[in-house]
Amino acid sequence: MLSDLNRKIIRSLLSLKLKDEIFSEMSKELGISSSQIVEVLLSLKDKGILRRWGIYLNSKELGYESALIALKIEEEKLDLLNAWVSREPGITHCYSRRFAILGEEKEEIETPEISKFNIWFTLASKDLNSFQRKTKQMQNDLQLESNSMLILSSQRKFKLRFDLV
Amino acid sequence: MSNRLLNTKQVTKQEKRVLDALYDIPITESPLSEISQELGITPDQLLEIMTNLEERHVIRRFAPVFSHRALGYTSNAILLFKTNNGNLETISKVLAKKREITHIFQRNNIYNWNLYAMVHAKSHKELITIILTIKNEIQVPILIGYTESEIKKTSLRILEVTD
Repeated sequence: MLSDLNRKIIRSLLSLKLKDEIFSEMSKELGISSSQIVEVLLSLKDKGILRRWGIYLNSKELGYESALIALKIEEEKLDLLNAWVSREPGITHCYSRRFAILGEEKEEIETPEISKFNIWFTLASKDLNSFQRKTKQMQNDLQLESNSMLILSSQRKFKLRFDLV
Repeated sequence: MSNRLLNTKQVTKQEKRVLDALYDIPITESPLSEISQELGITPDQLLEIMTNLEERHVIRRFAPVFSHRALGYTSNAILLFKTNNGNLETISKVLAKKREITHIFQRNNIYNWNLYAMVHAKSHKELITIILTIKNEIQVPILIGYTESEIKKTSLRILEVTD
């Protein structure tokens, strides 16, 4: 687990702007030197806790097409899927999911069809054409029925923020 | 690296180089000078290009990316809600206030489960507690998609996304 100091450094890092002598204020606040901060961050990166430090791109502004995609896929095809997913750079997150419903106690809720989709991932591609080409290719390669692939484009963003430390 | 990988309409060649250099910056006491030196421009020029890209919303933010798992957030789920014009705003507002909820998007589809939220917790018990709290506040059914296994997790790097 993280030490208190490491946690403090991580928290302060979240609000840093790119500038010269980037750690000078943080170093005063935490009472350690900039080189110590660098040392801690390098070790966090080494351990894989800090994956990278840099910009988050807005893929939409770059003209990219992206969506959350859900698949209904049989167990036997999972190896094939894994291989497909790992070689496609536009797929950044892919999870297998198991659904449960939290409904009203009194009312019986049927198992919704959408909960039968067991693989969920995000796909980004450089424009709409190449996006559609990729989803079609995936359907062909994995021999998926058209109703086994659900493309969930976003209509509206309410929140996108990861500040949990 | 060739320009065909990017829609050049949106960014210039120099901006592309800046975006690439700022994707994973070196961890040193003065990263700004180091990066600008590498790009052959002054630190002020680099900041100017960066600010401009931020104003055009090409750059969403500048921040560290931590591994959820390494930070202890090992229990994750996607939450699905069926909302209508009447309760979409209210439900998304309740969700947005929760620190543990990181993504909230409206995504319309034939099944009418149209609101999607990602929730992260340090244990299964904590995850359930958060979901029950939400359930209490919003009073509509929640479809919970527990993460069974992680097949892939990386971040999008524009230069890699080709045809």
